[in-house]
Amino acid sequence: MTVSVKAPTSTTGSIQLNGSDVLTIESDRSVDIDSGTLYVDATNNRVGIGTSSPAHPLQISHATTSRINFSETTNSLTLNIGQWGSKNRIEGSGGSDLIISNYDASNPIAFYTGSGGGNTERMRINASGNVGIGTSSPGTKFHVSDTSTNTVKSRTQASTGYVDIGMGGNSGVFDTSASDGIRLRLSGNDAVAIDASSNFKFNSGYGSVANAYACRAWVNFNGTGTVAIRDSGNVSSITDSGVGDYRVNFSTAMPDTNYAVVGSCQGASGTDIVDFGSFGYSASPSVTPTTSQVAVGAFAYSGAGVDTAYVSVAVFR
Amino acid sequence: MDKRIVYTNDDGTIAIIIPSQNWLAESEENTIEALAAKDVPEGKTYHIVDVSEIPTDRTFRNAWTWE
Repeated sequence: MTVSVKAPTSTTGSIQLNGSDVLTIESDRSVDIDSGTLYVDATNNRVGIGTSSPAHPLQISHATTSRINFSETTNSLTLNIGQWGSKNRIEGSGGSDLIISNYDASNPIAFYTGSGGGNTERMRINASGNVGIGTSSPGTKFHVSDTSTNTVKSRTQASTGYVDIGMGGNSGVFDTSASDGIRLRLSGNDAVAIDASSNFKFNSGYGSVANAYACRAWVNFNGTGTVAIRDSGNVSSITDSGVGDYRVNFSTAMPDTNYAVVGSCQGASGTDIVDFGSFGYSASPSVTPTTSQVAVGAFAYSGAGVDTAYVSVAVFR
Repeated sequence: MDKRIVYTNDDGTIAIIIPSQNWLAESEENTIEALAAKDVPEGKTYHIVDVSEIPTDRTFRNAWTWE
């Protein structure tokens, strides 16, 4: 084995082993060991591993596997940082957590994506542990924000469908494509459900969830003196058509005329019995219900209409 | 202003529409005129009147006519 020191040119010198350069020193005092395996750029104060032209203070370069490996032998921990398998990677292994920490009382860990000038923060974990997506000031443990579109949602997805929870315009939205609908459960038991046909179901002492049928319109009015509506729901008006003879006009029409009408009315002075009727009661026997209107009335045993102070009507469908 | 809509039934009796205040409050588009367009039977001539113009004594309610 021959070790020699040479100055093959006027600008470089080298240490050779058996005639081959092992270490080259250039005129600017840059040092090249094993032709780029380790290079110290004295002019720019940079170090290259795998490159003889480092562009950064420390640059590691390799055609397929460019990484730094840290090994802790006591607990058999390994941490690799670099590029391999066509990915940029940070990978840990061994018997403990992989911790990424900002050891600071007030500053977050922020995650960015996007190229070049579009590199944008996408998520952060602030010093209090709140996670924010689309916000630099997460106010809760998990805070998702998108004020630019007025539509923001988080999605949970399985092979059978998805659940989206978020905002749509000014509305809070819970949306699912799950074929069996939505179930709200208490201790593992269904308490409220909306099935695939949009039927609303609840238990409420029934024993199991069952379809709940809705009152689609209601009204309470005074049929005496100045006839007036006390309160109502889905009723645009009532029509006073005569003594004890009224029409209830729906704000939003019924889907068909197969609805059910129930009602009650107060007694009237001088009349033994006042009854409530609809769908062609005695005062207006020819009146048939429509999708937008139903006739109701208060009448005496004789069949004559009677004005009463309280008439209450509910329509179920 | 508390209004009523009056029209004449086919049998000559008078029908009086009493608006729901809830319906009127639902939208700026829900006006007494819009209610008349919605709830007065098609083809009927109607009149929008102040509630004070409607008699409160309903003894002969079925005999009321519009003049």
